Amino acid sequence: MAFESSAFLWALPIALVPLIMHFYMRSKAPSVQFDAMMFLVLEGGSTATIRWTQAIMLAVRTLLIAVIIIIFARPYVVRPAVVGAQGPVSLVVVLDDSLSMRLGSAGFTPWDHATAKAMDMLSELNPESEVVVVASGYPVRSWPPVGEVWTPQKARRHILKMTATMARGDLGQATKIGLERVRLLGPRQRRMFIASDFRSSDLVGMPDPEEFHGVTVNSFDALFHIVPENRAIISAVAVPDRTVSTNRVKVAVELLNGSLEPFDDVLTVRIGLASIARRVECPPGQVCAYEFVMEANERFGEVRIPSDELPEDDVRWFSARSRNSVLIVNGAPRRQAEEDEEFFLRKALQLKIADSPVYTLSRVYPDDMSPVHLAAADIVILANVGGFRPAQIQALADFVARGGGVLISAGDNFDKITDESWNALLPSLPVERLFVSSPRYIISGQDLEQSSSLNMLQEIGRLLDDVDISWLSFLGVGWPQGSSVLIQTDASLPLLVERRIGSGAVLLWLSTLDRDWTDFPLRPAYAPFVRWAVSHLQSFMAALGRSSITVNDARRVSLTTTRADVVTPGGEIITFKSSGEFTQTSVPGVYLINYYEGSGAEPTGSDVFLVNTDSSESFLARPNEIPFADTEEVAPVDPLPEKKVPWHPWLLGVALLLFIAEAWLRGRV
Amino acid sequence: MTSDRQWEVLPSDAREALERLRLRPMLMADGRVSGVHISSHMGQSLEFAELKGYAFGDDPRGIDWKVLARTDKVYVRRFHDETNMAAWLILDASASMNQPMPDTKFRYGASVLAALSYVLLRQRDEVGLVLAHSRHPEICPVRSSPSHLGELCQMLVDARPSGPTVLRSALETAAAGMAKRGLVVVASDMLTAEWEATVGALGAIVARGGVSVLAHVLSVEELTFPFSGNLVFRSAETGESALLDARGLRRQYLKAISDFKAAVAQACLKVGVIYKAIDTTQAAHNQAAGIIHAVDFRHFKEA
Repeated sequence: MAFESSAFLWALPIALVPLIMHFYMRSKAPSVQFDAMMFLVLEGGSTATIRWTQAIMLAVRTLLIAVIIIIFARPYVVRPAVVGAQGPVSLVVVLDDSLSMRLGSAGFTPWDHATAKAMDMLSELNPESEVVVVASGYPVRSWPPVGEVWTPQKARRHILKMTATMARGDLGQATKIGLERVRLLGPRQRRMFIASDFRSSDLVGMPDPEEFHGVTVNSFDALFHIVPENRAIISAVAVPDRTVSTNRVKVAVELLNGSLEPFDDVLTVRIGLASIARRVECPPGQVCAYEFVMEANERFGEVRIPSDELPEDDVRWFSARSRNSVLIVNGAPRRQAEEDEEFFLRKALQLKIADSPVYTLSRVYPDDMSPVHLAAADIVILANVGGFRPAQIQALADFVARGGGVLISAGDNFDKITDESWNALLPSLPVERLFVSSPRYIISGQDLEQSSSLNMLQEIGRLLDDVDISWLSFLGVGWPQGSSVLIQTDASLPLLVERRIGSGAVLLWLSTLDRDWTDFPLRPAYAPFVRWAVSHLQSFMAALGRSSITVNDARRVSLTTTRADVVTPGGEIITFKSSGEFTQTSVPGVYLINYYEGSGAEPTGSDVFLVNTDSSESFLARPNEIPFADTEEVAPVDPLPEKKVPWHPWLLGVALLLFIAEAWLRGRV
Repeated sequence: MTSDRQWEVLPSDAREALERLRLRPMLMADGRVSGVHISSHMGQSLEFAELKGYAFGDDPRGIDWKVLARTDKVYVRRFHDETNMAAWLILDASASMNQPMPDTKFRYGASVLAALSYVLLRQRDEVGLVLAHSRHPEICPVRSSPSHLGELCQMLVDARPSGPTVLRSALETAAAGMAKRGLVVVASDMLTAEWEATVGALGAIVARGGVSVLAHVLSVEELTFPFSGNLVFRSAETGESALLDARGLRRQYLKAISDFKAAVAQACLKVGVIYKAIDTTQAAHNQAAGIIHAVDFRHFKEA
């Protein structure tokens, strides 16, 4: 035994003080002849008992003082190094719990193999090791929170409770987080254990080799004895086929045949009660595309193939409602119909033109507009609207972010906008109204992604020459990213501005679409322009599939009603009493949002959104060389080093026991 | 051989105070000479006993003429005889009685017994004394002569208490020497493990028709425990000693001694022994008077 503060040991003779005091007091204490001593001892005792008790008490007091002095000296023993024993390490376990780890084979999945390997490795670790667990399924998570560590035993218990998710994986990000965490752990040997199926897509974004400096990495290929075969629906998009009827859609399906055998099986497309089952063929290792034209009587549909070893990606949901529903929010209704902006917009959109879609129009006034209206609309036209509540603006922004389109026209009401909430939709708030006289117009939308859309706008631009615009609303500076001017005047005043928000876009016409500030509605360019604007906004939806998100993505629920219930595919109901993010999208399927007003039991409106698996998880292709594969076996760790084992916690317990014994003995004499 | 020191245990003022006291326990005495106690035989005292039919040989002076006149039957009037009694005074001379110095319990007990012997000898009773010593009991045989008081007092003055308590053997000695019914008075602190046997022996005397008195002598220190601080307590009788915190033990001790006194009194009551706790703060002859009163009270109570 050694002592950290051995100077305190000089105080050990103090332990003899009780003995000295006892004998001193005995010699100095007055002596009394007293023959009734039998009544001075406890029942059944005697003076001999008293003497023994006093002797023991003296010994206890002496020991107590000695122990306290030794505690101050901080004793310790040096535990020698043990040959063959493992010392504690700092370990981060990175587990790939993405969808591809659920691939079944002979009753076992890569996830089963990965967790079994991790458990084995943790069980062999020194119990004093520090462990952090990172899961690479989106969103990447780590346990315990930063600043805390787990013992191998606790990490094992946690891994036992984990299951593979249906989300996409981000192994690169998880590895980076693991590296950050392992460097925050104690100054021991730092190790990282990565268990994954190491598909090619998993390895995108992996840290560079030099970033692993100082960290011993062991990996486990969880797919090493499973044949990586998978067939999946990787895409399903319904595009309106407006040439025949307003409800007809063309469903484009992409099938991945990731097996070694040709696919020759039935593919089923279903929208509501209408379904098509067709036998299709797809060569091995190919992605095959199919088209199905059918009536869309329901807001969504599903595509399905027979289940294989990874059944979660054998079905995919898609938004099927014909995307030609236009909601006109009339911000300045007039008594004379021919003076009303809605009148001109309806005229433009209801024109019967061959090979052109037929739009379903509906109208609402600004105060009444709610997410229920937005759920039923694809395109919203804000005709000279200025008086929205912040919640309505936010609901519109969410609508656009999910792939919706909004066309905004300026006017007297628009000019009065000062509410900062509008910044969620507009590039900037209007600052003044400018008088312009017979300007010329320049098409400047060079960054339009759809070349056909640009060509059409340039055609319309030529027709704009005879349009006389007197007033323009002028926006402030400081436009956010994603904002661009599509049409401007020869004086460089913006006339048509586009702002991309999420998956959708906002088009802002900075003059009126009635005759207040311009004669545009009377000119030939008006109808083609309005139809182009709506078609342009629709193009975002067709490309991105509005209302579809992937597993574990958040979906914003905007509320202008009292409450909304989100019903998951499993039947679970989550109630929202204010706008917020819905994040419990761990299961693919159809999620229904019911909106309620007051305490009513019947919903006043509803919306759906679809959650699909990420198609990247269906591709099981792997690189020729698995990273860290040569270190699959656990690297040897340092032997258990010499360690100081402090004794004072034990001695504190001994002191406490001695104190209790002394108190008990004191009551006996 | 006597000296003036003999009266240290019975000063003149005590004798003066005791002059008019009489000790008359309720028992049929078997004395040899006339005294103040009722004899078990008929005699010439004034105390009427019974009427008996005349028989040949009866003294004709005893014929009750008034009864003869009324009933024409001859009866003889009979009277109790009056005689003296034998009293044994036993003093515990163990070492525990030799405290506190200088007015020890032994000295106090000696004064009480001397006072009793004075009263008894004045009424012509026979008085004997036993000093319960560890070695062997010192015995002064029963006598009724007035000069016997001096011998008793001298013996009490000369005695030196020592050794353990041996009351039981002293009582056996007294019982053996007391062939007739009489009075036994024991003065002791009873600080012995055999106190119950001592009380039992006293009870045996009561069972034989005698009267037993236990004068329980405890010092003020033993009754009030006025000590404080750490003290070395020594027992003169057993030689034990211990360093103890007197203040911490006081409550426990007072309860124990109180229980002890009550137990001794209860045991005496059970076997018919008269128990008298002696208050050593009072004059010894007053405590002797108290014993006489207790015996008389018992007399009246039983009468």
